[in-house]
Amino acid sequence: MAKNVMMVVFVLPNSLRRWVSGDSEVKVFAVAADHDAPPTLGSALDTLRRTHPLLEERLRDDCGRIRRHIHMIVCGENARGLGGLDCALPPGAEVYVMPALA
Amino acid sequence: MSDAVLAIGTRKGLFLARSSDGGPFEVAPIQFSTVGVTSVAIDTRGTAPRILAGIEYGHFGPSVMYSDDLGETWQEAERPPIAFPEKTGATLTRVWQLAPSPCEPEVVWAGVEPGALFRSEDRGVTYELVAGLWEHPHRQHWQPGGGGLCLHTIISHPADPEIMGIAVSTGGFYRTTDGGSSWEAANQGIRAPFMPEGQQYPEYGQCVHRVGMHPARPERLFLQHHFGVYRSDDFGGSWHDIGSSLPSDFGFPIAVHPARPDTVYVLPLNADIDRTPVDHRYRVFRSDDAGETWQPLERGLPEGPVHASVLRDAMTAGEAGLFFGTRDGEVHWSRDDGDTWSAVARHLPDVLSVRAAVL
Repeated sequence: MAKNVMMVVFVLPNSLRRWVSGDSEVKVFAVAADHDAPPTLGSALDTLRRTHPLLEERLRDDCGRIRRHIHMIVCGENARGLGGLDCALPPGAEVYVMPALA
Repeated sequence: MSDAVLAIGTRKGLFLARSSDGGPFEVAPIQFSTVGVTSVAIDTRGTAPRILAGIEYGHFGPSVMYSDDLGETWQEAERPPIAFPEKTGATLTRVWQLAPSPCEPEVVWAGVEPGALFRSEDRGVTYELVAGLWEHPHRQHWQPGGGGLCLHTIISHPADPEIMGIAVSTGGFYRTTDGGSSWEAANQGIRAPFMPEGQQYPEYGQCVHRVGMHPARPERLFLQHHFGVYRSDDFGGSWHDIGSSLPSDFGFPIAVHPARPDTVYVLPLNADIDRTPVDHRYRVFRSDDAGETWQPLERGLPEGPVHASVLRDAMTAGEAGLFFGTRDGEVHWSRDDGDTWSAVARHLPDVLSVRAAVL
């Protein structure tokens, strides 16, 4: 059985668009780790690291952790409360990237 | 004198200034506005000068940018320019130092937080971790100073790429004679009064603030420590105090005159618990006899009371002159070895890094 593969849309704020030629969205394929599991936020970011490494570097540190002041909103909730990088992504998921207010 | 360029990295952006034929510097509008520029370098080795900037995006982390047209346009590597290998479990926090090698044309060194050295072989575009230092058994015992666990000083031998020194706060001074494969602590004689009695001359753990070297006499080093100013005549093999006649031996920067190996500059602050300039005046102290005696230099510097410090990378001495920048956003310049000064800029964000070069 093939692993689940799903298109994920990262919706970007103005401050991050400089790394993607001004685009407001980036679409990547997230690949599930196991046959019977859904793709996760971590797997989508792993793809982003290959396709858009400079953008991904701004979202995660060298160890692959989501940077402290970056929030990723999935289905209206902060992914940190949904398992972080292990947050399961539903079909057609949109991930809203939000720098923390400071 | 031909044209000179001055690069001023600040907490909220980069400022470049140009001078023609020894005339005043004109400061161009801010670049990287709101972005911290924690280190700058001007690489004049190639056919065209390259300006390097270690930057910090705040929420989005650090990076390195470079410009080959004196700041008209900037580029970033297609992959993260400085990144720790995954196996280290470390992540880049800040780029504290960018240093083109004087003896390897394409090599640029980067000193970063947390306490690591990176080497670039493409003139500062991408970098690789120097494993020999990262794997040093002392590293796990280094403790971050107030600014973080920063590798802030890189000393390259002018002719022999095998010989280098670095300094970490607080780890101390380390040197290599095999191009970075192996390193030894070289802090003998540097007193660490914050340690318990009887343990005040440790092998490592000193809070070195800055080290300077003159390329014409590479075995001689000058060092500003958290407590004391020191000189070594054997590339760190031993150190002796040269700061006892200064009004304070606490400070951050130390710089060596570009043409006179015995001339060295410091900018003393009152103490570690009072990081304001001595007498609340910006005064550079110069020694022309390798630290035996010091004289204050203040002509042309602000007369009113001042209260800001000068950080370790914010003073530089070179062919373009002697410069220092302050945490209250002033940059001062001397073109006569420190005898007289003029202001290049005021009201900038706090100055983190200053470099100048004659083009």
